[in-house]
Amino acid sequence: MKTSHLLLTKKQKVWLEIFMGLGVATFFVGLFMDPTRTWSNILLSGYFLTGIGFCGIMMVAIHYVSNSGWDVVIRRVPEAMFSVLPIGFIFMILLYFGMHDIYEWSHADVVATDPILAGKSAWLNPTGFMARLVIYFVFWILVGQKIITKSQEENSGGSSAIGLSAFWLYIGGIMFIFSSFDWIMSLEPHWFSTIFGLYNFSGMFTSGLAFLMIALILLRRNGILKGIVKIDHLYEIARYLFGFTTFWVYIWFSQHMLIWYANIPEETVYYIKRHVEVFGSLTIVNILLNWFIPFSILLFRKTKRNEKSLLIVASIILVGRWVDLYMMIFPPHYKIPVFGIQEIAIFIGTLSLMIWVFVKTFQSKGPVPENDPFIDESLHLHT
Amino acid sequence: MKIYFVVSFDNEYDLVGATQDFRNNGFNILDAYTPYAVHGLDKAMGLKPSRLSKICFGFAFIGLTIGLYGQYWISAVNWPINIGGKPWNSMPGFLPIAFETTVLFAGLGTVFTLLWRTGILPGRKPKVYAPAVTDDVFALVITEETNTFDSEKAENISTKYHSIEWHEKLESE
Repeated sequence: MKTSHLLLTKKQKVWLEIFMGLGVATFFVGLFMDPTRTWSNILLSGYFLTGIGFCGIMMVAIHYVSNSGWDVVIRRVPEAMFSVLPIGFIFMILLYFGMHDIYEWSHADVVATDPILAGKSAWLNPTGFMARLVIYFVFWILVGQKIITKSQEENSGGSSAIGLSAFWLYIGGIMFIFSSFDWIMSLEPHWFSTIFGLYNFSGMFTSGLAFLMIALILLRRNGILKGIVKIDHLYEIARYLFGFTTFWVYIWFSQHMLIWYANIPEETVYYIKRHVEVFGSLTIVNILLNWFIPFSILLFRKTKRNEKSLLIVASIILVGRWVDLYMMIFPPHYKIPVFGIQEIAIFIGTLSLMIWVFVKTFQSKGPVPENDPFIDESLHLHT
Repeated sequence: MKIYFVVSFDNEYDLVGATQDFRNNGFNILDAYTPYAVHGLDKAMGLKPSRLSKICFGFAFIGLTIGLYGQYWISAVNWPINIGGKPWNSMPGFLPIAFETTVLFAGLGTVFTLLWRTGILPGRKPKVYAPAVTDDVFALVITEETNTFDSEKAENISTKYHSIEWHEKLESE
């Protein structure tokens, strides 16, 4: 069954293209005006995209491994989210050209005079950085594509992808932890935190779930998944979201409290940058957006079963993810936060690209895996 | 005098259907007994959502307050000790313990409230209407005043949903 509905009107498509064009234009202009800021934005957008794509394929894999039945009717949506991952790959590959502008350890002369960076240079060097980046993405994309192909083949009686999913989750998850060390934590190469990968994992999961939630609600409104995806399915995703926003603050606080308690200068330097002046208030905004507001809204059964409140919460969380990444990426280079046309244009352009790719992929396949053995269970989900 | 009408089924779909039908016909459902949790039965029985979550929230709030205030009182009011140069009232250090007391109070409080409200206490003599529900049978118990109970109608509904067995029981028995 191919999707006959058009998900985007012509007008919406034109708008998306305009936003993408503006994003690209801002990127090139920004390269000449302020390369550090531009590359920081590209890193932010690329990592955001990678997280969305990663979460998509991870949801598919988790539900295969856990042998769950309820998710079958929504499975094509995370599968389409996976198509965003290659875009993240392109963004991150671009960083090759901006490496010297944002990563201190990429300058050979700085490393030579700095014993700490010299000690870390076996891991943190440009060649290794790019090689690992390619390995991560090739694994995520190739093995992930196999899972999706198997899931599609199930329509014509193919085998299930349980073993492959377990393999992907195990290796891919470890790779995600290392990728956050590589791309984000190394912005401040003197500082380290072993929980940093998990911290990013929790943020990636909440933002991916938020995107999934918005996509499901809009597809229901559009009519494609109306009557198939029930409020009970949204309720399941909302419970995930409720749990993982709390998980995010749990990890955020774990990292913060241990560093606060030990009070060692080489560790506290990270939080000193983020706890004073304007960045200090942004930290509070970050916690409000990523945990306090979603937690307070999702606490009730009624709000977890209401499309409107879910849409609001999911949007807040996506904005919160941007702020969270901003708090990781910008303080190493800026004493006071910078926010303007550049940040807005590049991020909106990225979002437009993401929506465009997502919709195109979703439309090219049937909206529901019709011959999955669990389809009946999923259609009759009761919560 | 009250009468208990106990009707058994051999699958969950008949049970849910019959429950809905009995309720639509104005019968007063005492309870349904099943070997495992059946989805949709609560809706068919017309059960209201549990109020336990509110109790849970209340206990959690009490636990949080006791955890935070207790630590504040101990380390800042009653016996201040300088630990690592931190202020006496050090919020981040209190949070893990406050979290634990929150969970402890919420968990225990909810369980004990449940036990108290449902009367599942040690030494309670269980009322078993249909012993086979511990194996593979789904039973529905309807209770009415003896003089208003329409036994013919009840038996008709039972037959409609392929009941395997039914019997009537008086309160005194």
